[in-house]
Amino acid sequence: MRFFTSRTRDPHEAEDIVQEIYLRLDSAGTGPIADPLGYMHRIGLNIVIDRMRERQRRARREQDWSEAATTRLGEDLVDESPSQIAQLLAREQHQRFASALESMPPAAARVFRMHRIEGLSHKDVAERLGISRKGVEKNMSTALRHLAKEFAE
Amino acid sequence: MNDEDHAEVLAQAAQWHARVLGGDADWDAFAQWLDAAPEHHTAYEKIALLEDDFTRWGRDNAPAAPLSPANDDSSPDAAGRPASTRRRWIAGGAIAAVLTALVSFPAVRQLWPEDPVYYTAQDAPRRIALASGTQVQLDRGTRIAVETGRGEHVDVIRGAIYVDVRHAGGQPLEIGAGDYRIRDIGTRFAVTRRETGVSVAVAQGLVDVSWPGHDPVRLAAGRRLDAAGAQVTVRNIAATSVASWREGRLIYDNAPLSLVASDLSRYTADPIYVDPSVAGLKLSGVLFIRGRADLLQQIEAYLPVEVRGEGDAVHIAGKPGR
Repeated sequence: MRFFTSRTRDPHEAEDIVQEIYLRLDSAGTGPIADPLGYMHRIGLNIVIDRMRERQRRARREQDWSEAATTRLGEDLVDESPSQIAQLLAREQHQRFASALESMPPAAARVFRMHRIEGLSHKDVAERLGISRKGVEKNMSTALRHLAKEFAE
Repeated sequence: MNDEDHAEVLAQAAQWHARVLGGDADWDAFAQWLDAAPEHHTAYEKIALLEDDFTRWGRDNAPAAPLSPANDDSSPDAAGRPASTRRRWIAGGAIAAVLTALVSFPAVRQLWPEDPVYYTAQDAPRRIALASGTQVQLDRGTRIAVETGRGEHVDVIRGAIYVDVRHAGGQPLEIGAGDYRIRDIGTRFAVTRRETGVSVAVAQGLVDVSWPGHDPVRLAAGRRLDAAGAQVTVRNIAATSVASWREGRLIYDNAPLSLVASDLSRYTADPIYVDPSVAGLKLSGVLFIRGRADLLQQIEAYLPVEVRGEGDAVHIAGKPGR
């Protein structure tokens, strides 16, 4: 609770999130969980990310709408529908991700692929590459730093 | 906030997110860090959202089959990665490329680096050829990881290698040995990874050796660098003595016993400990690599030392009554 107040800077939203954590825990079934506290924190962070994304989407929809409206005010030519703009954005994002991946240090990209794409734990990645868990964390952090640098505006 | 501070905050946010993803976060400390400054929130949000987007994108554009080769050292494959892995990769990639051709460029798959392929030489030296044509010879007791894809990268996990570089397509070759990076400029050279550092000896051409917090050191033919912790020495050697282990010999010119012992550990299963009182003794001469006991006897013949096997370790100490 205290953590999500920090995370959202809003006690009410933190309460919402904690409730949603319990809802998701209920629907997730009853498997044994090694680190229940860490697990709950991670579910909570996913919820925070989902909410941020929703806010972003809403902002973008409004922006799409106003951009589309502006185009119609122009004299002639195409009626730019929001879906076309969305496609354009997706394409642009695709290219930016591809170029970010291309310039990412190979060791970091490899660790990112194993951990996030193939879903191996830090421990399993460490074993497979013959490096320490700290080394895995370091490579992950290098990958994230690289992304932030590539997407700096 | 200036750019440098901003980069530092992003680096911290990246580190926190890496810990969160790995399940290693201290949540109280993380909350404290978030609360310490509003920029921390912004930076973490940015990193977490970017990571989430990048991961989704990555899952849509990942290689269809896992790239991990079997890495079975018992099936020697001098030509490079195991053939079966390559086939699997091409087939899986082709199918996935058809399925997603409308929304992505198939080429993206190849941007993900593949897993390294490991090679080990145990009781006899071994020679492998990289895709570029570069030849790598492994001494006994040596293990390396080879990564291809964007340039070639050879990581010396333990032991010694001799590299004969052929440049195909102008891709640079990089050798890693712990914190040390060795970049070739078209050449022949030897790299030995030691517990405490690295040795690089150049037979032909030029190489650059670099490590964190230090400018690269350029070595020409007939030069040798030995780095152990903060102590780095560069000296002249006979170019013909580079990686003499290839001919079953170890050639030394005024080499400290500690360094000689580190070489010998490649040929013995047990660790070798050198008593500090004799570690600085200098050895000049040739040792013949025939067998472990034999090598240790040769050391006793050269220097006033005594070699004792104790349990699973070998100790080299001063001769009593010296």
